[in-house]
Amino acid sequence: MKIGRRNVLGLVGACVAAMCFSSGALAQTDKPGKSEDKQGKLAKIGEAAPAFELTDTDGKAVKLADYKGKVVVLEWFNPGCPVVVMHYGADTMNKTIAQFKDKPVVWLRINSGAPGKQGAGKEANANAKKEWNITTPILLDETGKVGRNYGAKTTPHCFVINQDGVLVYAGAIDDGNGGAVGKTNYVAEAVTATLNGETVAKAETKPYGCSVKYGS
Amino acid sequence: MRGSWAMIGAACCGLVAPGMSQPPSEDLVRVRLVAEFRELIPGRENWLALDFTIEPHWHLYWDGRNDSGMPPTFEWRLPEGFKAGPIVWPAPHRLVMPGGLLDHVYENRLTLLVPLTVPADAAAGPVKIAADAKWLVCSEMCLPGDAEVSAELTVAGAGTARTPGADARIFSDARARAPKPLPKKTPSDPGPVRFSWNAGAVELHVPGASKLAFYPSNDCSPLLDLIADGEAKGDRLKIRLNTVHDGPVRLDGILDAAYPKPQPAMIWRLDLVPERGGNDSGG
Repeated sequence: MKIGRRNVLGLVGACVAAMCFSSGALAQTDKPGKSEDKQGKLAKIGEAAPAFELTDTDGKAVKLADYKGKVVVLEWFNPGCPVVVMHYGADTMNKTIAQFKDKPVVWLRINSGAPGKQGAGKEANANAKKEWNITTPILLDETGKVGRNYGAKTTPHCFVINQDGVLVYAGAIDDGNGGAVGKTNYVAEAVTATLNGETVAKAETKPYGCSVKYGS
Repeated sequence: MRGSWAMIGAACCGLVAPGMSQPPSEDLVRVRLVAEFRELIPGRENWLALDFTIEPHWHLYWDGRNDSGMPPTFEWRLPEGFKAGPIVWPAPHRLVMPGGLLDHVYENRLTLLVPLTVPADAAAGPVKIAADAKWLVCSEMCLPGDAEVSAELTVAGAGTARTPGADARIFSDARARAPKPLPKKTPSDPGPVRFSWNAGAVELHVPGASKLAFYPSNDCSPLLDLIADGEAKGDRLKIRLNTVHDGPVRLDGILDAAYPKPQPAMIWRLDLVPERGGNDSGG
């Protein structure tokens, strides 16, 4: 699926026009122990995936619990991130979803960008949903709470949750490095294993991409 | 890979929507390829540099362990038998971001040193050394970029005296920030960096230092909380290991030590494993 140059530009333009440039949090160090506290809430492979309820770009409330009994894939999303743009240009995610067309698999995108950040907000994500032929919900996590609970670091960063609500995979979509689509699709492998009732062989990989644009 | 980067480039690079104050991405990063000496000598060390100038408040990524981003990559186009690399990456600095993200980045200027191997039988005369550079440059947002760089150089005879190029200064600056191997310890001299392994942590002691920072490479074993542990004032740095993960313990990366003025900073390459017996002050 080709992305029209103008369409993506419109997305990027809308995103960038909405944001204010700042020098960002350079060389600040977190308070000692603070990230440990956050780590205490972090999702862990083999444990129950953190519950959440978020609103999607159509204003509908979506709860993780709605999908108990299905395999759920969470994809951290930012339509302004060049690595995400690369994957959507290659249709990586939709192709993966299509692999499991008739299976009980749900794919949710989550954007944890704070208001004003690149690619954040209802408008930018609603536009992306249309332009990129996304048919499943894009959830807005503008406080970043869900992202932090999962330890989402990059866009894309993917998590696979089994039918019992247990986290079975966390990491990159594939073994690429962000410059091109990879050869091995880790998420597809994790979903296949989970549907077959098998343990996911590669349960954790290092995600790649742009940083999730949390607020300070 | 080139095709996909082109796709990103087509989507994002150089296209500015009306009303935006963002600089066009080709102005954010400029890169050039320069040689230390005007003459390339077969069989001797020949150094080139990839010299990046980065728009203020934007950054490029180091080639080590980051939570996000990607370092610049290069595809070389070289004459027959020539080799470029391995690239020497200077010490970066830490960038901590909301959400507990830690990256290691470069701002304003990045000079990558590149050893060029010139075959012993290379003919004297002009040669062109070229590379396709691709990068991700980020501020609050990220933009991809790419450029072709090249240098027209001369292969001289084996005994030729060399004349410094116009950019000799950037080579010495880059070497100052390049990691050096730890000096071998001797019975009488434990060296500038002492380290001791205790349950779940390694403590680095650099006598005389005023500030320390550690930047892990991709080969470093998992660490517990490098945002908290990776940087400290003074002469000690205690880095907790992530003992949940199995696998050999290895502290691999760069140690960046600042000293009181006028003493210059020291940058060391660390590749430490616990030795039998626990504590050790060796390298």
